[in-house]
Amino acid sequence: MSKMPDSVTLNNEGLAFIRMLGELFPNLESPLRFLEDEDREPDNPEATFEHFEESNFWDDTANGTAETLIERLTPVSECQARILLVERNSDERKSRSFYFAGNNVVEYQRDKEEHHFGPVRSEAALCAEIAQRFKTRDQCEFSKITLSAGDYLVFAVFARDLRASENVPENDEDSPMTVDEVLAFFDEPETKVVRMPDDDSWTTSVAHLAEQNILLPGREGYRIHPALCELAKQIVADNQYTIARFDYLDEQWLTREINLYPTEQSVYRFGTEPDGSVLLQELTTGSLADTLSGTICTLPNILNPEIQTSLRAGTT
Amino acid sequence: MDGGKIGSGAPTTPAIPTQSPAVENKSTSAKPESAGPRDQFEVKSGATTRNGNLTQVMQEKTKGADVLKLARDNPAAARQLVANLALTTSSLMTSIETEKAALRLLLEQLSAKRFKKSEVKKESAKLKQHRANLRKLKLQLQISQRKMNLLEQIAGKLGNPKLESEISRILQRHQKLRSRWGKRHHLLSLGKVLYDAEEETPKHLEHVVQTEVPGGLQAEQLSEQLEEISPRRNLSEMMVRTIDGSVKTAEQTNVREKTFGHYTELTEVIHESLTNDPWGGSS
Repeated sequence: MSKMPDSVTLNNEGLAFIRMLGELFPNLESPLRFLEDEDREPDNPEATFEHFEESNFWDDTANGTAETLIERLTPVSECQARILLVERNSDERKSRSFYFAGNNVVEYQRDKEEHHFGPVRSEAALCAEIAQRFKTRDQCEFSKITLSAGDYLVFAVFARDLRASENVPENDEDSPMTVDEVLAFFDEPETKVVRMPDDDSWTTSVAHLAEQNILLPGREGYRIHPALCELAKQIVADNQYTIARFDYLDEQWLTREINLYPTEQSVYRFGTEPDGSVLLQELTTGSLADTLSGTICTLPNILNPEIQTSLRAGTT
Repeated sequence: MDGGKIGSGAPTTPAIPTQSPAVENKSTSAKPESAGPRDQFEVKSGATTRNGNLTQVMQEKTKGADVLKLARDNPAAARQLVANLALTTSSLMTSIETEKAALRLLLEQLSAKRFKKSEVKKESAKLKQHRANLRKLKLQLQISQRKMNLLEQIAGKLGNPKLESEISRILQRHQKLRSRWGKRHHLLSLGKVLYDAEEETPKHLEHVVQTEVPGGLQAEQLSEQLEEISPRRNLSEMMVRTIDGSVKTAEQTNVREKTFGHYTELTEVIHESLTNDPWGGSS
């Protein structure tokens, strides 16, 4: 049985029947393409017709498949894009597939001979549904941080130190790291082939982080700003959500994706900026909606100057 | 991209509007496309279809390369082409409705006979003919719509991350690094190479990646693979593992599909780094 709520299920015979009626034309990217490749015809059209009548899949007035069924099938068979929602933990990878055509999105899942088609929804409705999976705050102190790779590694060292000190009795060993202690991690010489940070640049990174208020100076060293402590202590790589959209333009696909990591109270986005910096963003309710919309929704028309190109992927 | 020409396939495809002399000169003096950097991820050659039906597959391709070039060089002509394509689309939709109406008459008869197998068999040839006509029209409609999408949505304004030439250089450099943290630092700096955007790239397109995919491989599997080996995803995971201190096993990071050439090699290097702790000494 499909776990997909409110889905309609068809088997290969049913799909072949609809194809015979000239109502199903799976394109190259469609998961139903096998019908075309294998030139599937129904084995028993009479029985399938009866089943369609009983299931309200048949429209007597139109002498064809009911429109309510066709509108679920068309985005999957004549898909212009696929949206993948992938949830990963340490043991498994679960994915849900949504296909897009016209203005409609339909979830699709196949179990051997059975094909499940979810209800028709808009891109905006899918964004809203995905957003509901995450807890968010209305606002946050550090909405978006972009760091160089060196600055990020220094930040990570402080974050690891903070995490390690959790639940350990107070003593000298769990006091905040000094700059020297941070630098001690990086004392191994590297080649000259790639410019690598030296002690001076790591000191500079600490200064950069302090300038941005990400590190706060204390009596014995630096500590991470309290607003970032939840991220530092709770973020887990094995709790990862990826939302990717593939727009099919034949040999060329346009791909967009975001990677989200939820904690108990919030959700964070980690990524890479076009200028090479590391992006670390706590998503508020508003910025999560914008980010999802930038990934999931159809790209705006940039040839028409009157239409706002307002998708804000990565810019919020 | 292989430089296919629009207008050479389906008869209903409108011709590209004439380019200005300046644009033509620019085009003829340009180097062959294969010699320069390409603004997309590339795919290993030699891909074939699941059932070897490559000819049919290639007939369903729209050849978008020249469209993108046109949009980049001559936006006014691109707008004109979009208008022409819109007319074509409209005319195709009318033809599809006409064909559907003819098919409905036949289906009405079959429905009255409750789609008995013998009756369906009798009308099988007619059914197939209607379906073939509709398939042809639908294909032409798809080609028009995809060209329109290509022009309207990106119009040649995607960034040029120079991937093909850069990734092998990155991999060579990476092999010369010794410490784990050094390797991680190097990988975390790759965003500029992978996702560089040109100045004219609109903000909302900066995170869009144009990926060349082979005709014939199943799109369903291909998109799963792309998601799995995406450097953006793997780098984000690296960022978080650098904080949470976790590592992956060699089995978890095994890249099974090698379809995407350099792209896959880069992913393997990122995965290798994910199997160790950057502060754990030399690898």
